[in-house]
Amino acid sequence: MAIRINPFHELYVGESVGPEKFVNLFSDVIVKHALSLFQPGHVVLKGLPGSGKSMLLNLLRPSIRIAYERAGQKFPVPDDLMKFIGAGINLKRSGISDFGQRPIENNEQNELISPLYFGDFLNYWVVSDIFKSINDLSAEINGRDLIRKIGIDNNKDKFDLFAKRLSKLDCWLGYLDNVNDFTGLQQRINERIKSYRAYLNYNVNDLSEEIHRTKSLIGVPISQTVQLLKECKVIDEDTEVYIRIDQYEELAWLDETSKGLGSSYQQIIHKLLGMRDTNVSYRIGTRHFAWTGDEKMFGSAARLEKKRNYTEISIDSVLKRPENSRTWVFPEFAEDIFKRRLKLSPYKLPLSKDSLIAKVFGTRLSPSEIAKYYVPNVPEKAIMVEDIWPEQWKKFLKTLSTSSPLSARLGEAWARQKGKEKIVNEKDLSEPYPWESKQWWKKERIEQALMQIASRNRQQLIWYGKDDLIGLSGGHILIFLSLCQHIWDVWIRDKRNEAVNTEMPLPEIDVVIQSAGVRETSNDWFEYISNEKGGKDRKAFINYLGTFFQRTLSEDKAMSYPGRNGFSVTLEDFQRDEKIYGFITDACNHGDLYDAPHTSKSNDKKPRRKFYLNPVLSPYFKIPYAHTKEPMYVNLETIAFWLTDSGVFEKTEFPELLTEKKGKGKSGKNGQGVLDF
Amino acid sequence: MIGNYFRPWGELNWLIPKLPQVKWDLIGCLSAEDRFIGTLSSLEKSNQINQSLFFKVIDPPSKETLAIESKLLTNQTLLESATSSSILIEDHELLEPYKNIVDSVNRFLVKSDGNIIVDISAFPKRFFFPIIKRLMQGNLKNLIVTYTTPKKYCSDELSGNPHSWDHLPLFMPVEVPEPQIDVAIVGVGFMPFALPELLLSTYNATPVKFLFPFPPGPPNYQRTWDFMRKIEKSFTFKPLDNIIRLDSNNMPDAFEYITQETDAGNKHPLFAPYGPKPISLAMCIYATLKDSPVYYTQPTHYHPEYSTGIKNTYGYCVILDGKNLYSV
Repeated sequence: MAIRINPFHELYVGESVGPEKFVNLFSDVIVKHALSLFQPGHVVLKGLPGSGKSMLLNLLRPSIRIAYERAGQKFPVPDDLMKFIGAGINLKRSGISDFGQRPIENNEQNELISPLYFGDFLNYWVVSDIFKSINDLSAEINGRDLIRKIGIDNNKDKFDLFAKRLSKLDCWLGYLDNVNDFTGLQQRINERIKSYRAYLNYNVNDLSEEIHRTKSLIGVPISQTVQLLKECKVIDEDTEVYIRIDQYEELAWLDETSKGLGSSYQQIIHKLLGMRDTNVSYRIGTRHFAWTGDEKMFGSAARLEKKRNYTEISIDSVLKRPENSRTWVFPEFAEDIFKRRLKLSPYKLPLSKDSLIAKVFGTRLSPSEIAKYYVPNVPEKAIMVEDIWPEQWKKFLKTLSTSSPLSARLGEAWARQKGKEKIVNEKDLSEPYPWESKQWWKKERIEQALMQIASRNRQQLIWYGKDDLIGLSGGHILIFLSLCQHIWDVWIRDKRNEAVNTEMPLPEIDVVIQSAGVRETSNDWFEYISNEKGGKDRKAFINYLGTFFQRTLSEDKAMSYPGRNGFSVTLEDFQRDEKIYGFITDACNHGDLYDAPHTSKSNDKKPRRKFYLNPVLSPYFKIPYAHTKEPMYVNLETIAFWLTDSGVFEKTEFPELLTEKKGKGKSGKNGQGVLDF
Repeated sequence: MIGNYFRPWGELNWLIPKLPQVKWDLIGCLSAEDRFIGTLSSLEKSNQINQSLFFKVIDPPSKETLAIESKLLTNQTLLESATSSSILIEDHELLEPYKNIVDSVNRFLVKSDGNIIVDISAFPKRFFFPIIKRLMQGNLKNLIVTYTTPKKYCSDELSGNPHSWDHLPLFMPVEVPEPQIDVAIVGVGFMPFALPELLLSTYNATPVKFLFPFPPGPPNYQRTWDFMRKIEKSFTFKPLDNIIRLDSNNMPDAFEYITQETDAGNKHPLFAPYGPKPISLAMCIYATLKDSPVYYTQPTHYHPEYSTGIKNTYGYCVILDGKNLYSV
C-alpha cells in the first residue's frame, strides 16, 4: 500500500547516513568552492554546526570513496585531485580530551607534561588510522581500479617490509622494535592507544614505563610513516595523504575543566600545521569561535599565519548571500539537495528541468495578494486613521483599502511622515500615488507594512514559496532541510484522511500548510538555542531582542524605521567591553545572530558591524527576515541595557555603561534609530 | 528478583535491618535539593553511621549562583546538625578534572572499614558514575546505593547550558579498534539536549532501546513523552528500535533487562543515562563490569529549585559480605 512519506525526515547528511546513501544525497555544488581540501597544503575548514563541514570532510573517508566506486558513480572531486588517502581523528570521539584529567608522571607539572602525551596519543591514533584507511581500500573486493587510481600497491610482502623498516625508525624510540610484519605493527600501535585509554579510565594503576620512555614528538611519526610508505612503494610518490582533525573546538572547552590545558592542546595541533611538512596535509574542522586567526604553536612564541601556513575555508561565507545575489551559491546548492532527496523518495518527478523547489512550494506571492489575505473580510482594517485627518482623506484611504489594502497602508504611513503630512489635504489624488511612485521608499517598507496589517488583524504572517524558504534558511543547509521536513510533515498530517494517489505525484503545497510548517520550524530552532552550551542566556537575549524588534516595528506607524530588525554598532564601541563582545560574538558563533560588516551612513564613517537574528527565527517573532533598510544604530550602552534588561547580566556588571543617563540609549546620526524604553 | 542472584532492594528503612549490622560509611552530595539528606536521616534514626563524606558540587557561575549558595548554606547547617557522627564536606567544582573525584573516593576508601553507602540522589552523573566505578573496584565488604525520590520536580527547565555529548569520566571506550556497537540503551528523562546528535552520528544504524520510566505519574509522563517527541523530530525510528517500559525505581530489573538485551555480555552496548537515577545506576554497574562506553550531555546549570521535598528513600544492595551481586 502506498503511503505518503517525508523525504526530509533524516536531516543530517554528515556521518548520520551510511556511505551508500551519502553517495545519493551529497551535493557536489559546494565542492568547487572548497577545492583546497583536495589539494596539498593544510586547510582550516570553519562552519556553524550543521553547515556541512562533516559532509565535506566525509569525502576524505575511504568508506565514502569505496561507496562511490561500488555505486559506479563518479567521485565528486576533479580527476586530477582524486589521488589521495584520507585518515584522521575525531578529537571528541577518540577520548583524547581526557588527557590531563588524570595526570601522567608528575601531578605538579601536569599542564606541561600532559600535552606531550596528548601529542603522542594523536601520533599513534593517526598512524593507526592511516593503516586502517589503506587496509579498507585494499580490502575492497571491487576496488582494484580504485586502488590503482589512488596509487596503493596491495602486496603483502611490501607491507611487511614497510613494517620492519618503520619499526626501526628513531621517531618511535624503540617502542616498535619487536615488530616483524604489518599485522604485528598495527597490533602494537593499537596496544598503545588501548593502554592510554585504560589508564585514563582508571582501569589500571599506571602507564607502563615503556610508554613514559618512548613519547614521540608531535607529527614526526605521522610524517615519517607516510614518507616510508612512499619509499617502500606501498603508495605512489604522488599520492597525497590528508589527515582530518575534526571537532577542534572541543579543545577550547577543556579550559573550563583545567585552565590552560585546552589551549596547550590546541597549540600542539598548531605545531602540526607549522611544520611545513610536505608528506602530509592536515584538515582541521572547527567552529568559528575556536579558530581566531591568532594561533600560537606549542613550545614557541611563533604563530601560524593564514595563507603561509594554511588556507582557510568558511562554509558559511561561501553559502551566505553576498551583496550581489547573482553570485549566491546557496540557491543552487539547496535546489540540488532538494532534488536528490526527492529522487530517493517514491514521488514521481516531472521531466522538466524547472526548479523542483518552486514546483512543490511555488515561487512567491505578490505583496498585494498577501495583504488581501490578511484582511479577507474587512479591508479597511488594514489602516488606522487619525481623528484630526480631513474626512476626504479618511474616505480616500478606506476606499483605497478595498482595492489595495497594502497601498492604503503605505498611504497612511506617508501621511504620518515628517514633511509629507500635507498629503491629507490633497483633494484630487490620482494614480500613481506618491508612495507608489517612490520605488525605493515603497520597497523598503513593504515587509513592515504587511507585518503591521497582519498584526492589526491578529493574523499569522504568511511564509510561502521558494524565495521565502531560501531567505529563511540564511545560507544554512540544515535549516533549509528542516523547513522542508516540517512543511512536509504538516502536509502529511493535513492529508491523513485522503486516499493516497498511487501514482505518487509530486505535491504542490499550499500557503496555509507552508506557513504552518515554517512556524513549527522556527519554534523548534528557537527552542534549540538552549540545547547548546551557554544557550540558556543566549535564548533569553534572543527572545528579548526578537520581541523588541517586533514591538518597535509594529508600533512605528509612520514606518520611519523599517530596518529595525537588526542593529549596528561601531567596532570601536563593540570591542570596548570584553563581556559584551564575548557574549554577542558567541551568539554569532552559534548561529543565533548573523553578523556582517556595515558600511556606515553616519558622518563619522567609523567601521561598524551589523547584527540580525538568524532568519529562521523571524517567524517565531513575527518579523520580516529581509534586510531592506539601514539597521538600528546603537551604542554599547544600549546593548548593555538590553543585556541586563533581558536578565543575562546583572546591572552591577556594567557600572561604567549603565548610569541613569546612558542606559536610555542614544540617538544615532541622521535620525537613525532613536531608542525609547 | 530471584535469578542467579538475589539482589535485595527496597525502602531503606525496610532494607537496613535485614543487612549486616555494621556501622556504615556514607558518601553523599550536599546540594540545594531537600532530598540530599534523605539517606542520612534514615540511617541516623538507627544510629548506624560511622562517618560521612559529602561532596559539595559547585556549578559554574550563573545568575542563580547566589540563590544556590544560600540554599547550600542552609542545607549545610541542616546537615551538620543532623548527625553526631563525623562529617567531611569537600568542595568540588562541577567540571573539575575527574582525578579530584577519584582522589576523594580513594582517600575515603583508606579510612573506611569497607561498609559503604552511596546516596546518588543529588549527585550529578559526572560524579556518581566514577564514584560507583571506583567503589566497585575497591574490594568492599558491603556496598549499598541509595536514592531518594522528591515530592516534586520544578516545572521549569531543570537544567541547561549542556556540553555537547561526550563520554562520562572513566567510561570512554577502551578497545582499539573499537568493536561495533550492537545496541544503544537510552534512559528516557526530561531533557534530551544533544542526544539525537549522538544517535545520528556514528551510531545511526545501531538499534536503540529507550528505557521509559513506568509508571511515571502525572505530570512527569508529559515530560518523558516530550523527551521522546523531541528525539523523534530528527531521529527516524528503525524497525529494531523499541520503547521499553521499566519501573523507574527497580534498579535490579533494569540491570536484568540490560543483561538480556546484551545477550549476557556478548553484545556491545553504549549507554546514554538520561532517565531516573536508579536506571542510570543499572547502566553504570553494567558499564563498569563490561567496560562499556557511557555518553551524556553534561548540563552546567541546574535550577535552584530542581526538586523539593522528600518522598521515599530506596536502597540497592550491590556488594554484600564481599560478594558482588551484579555480574554478567
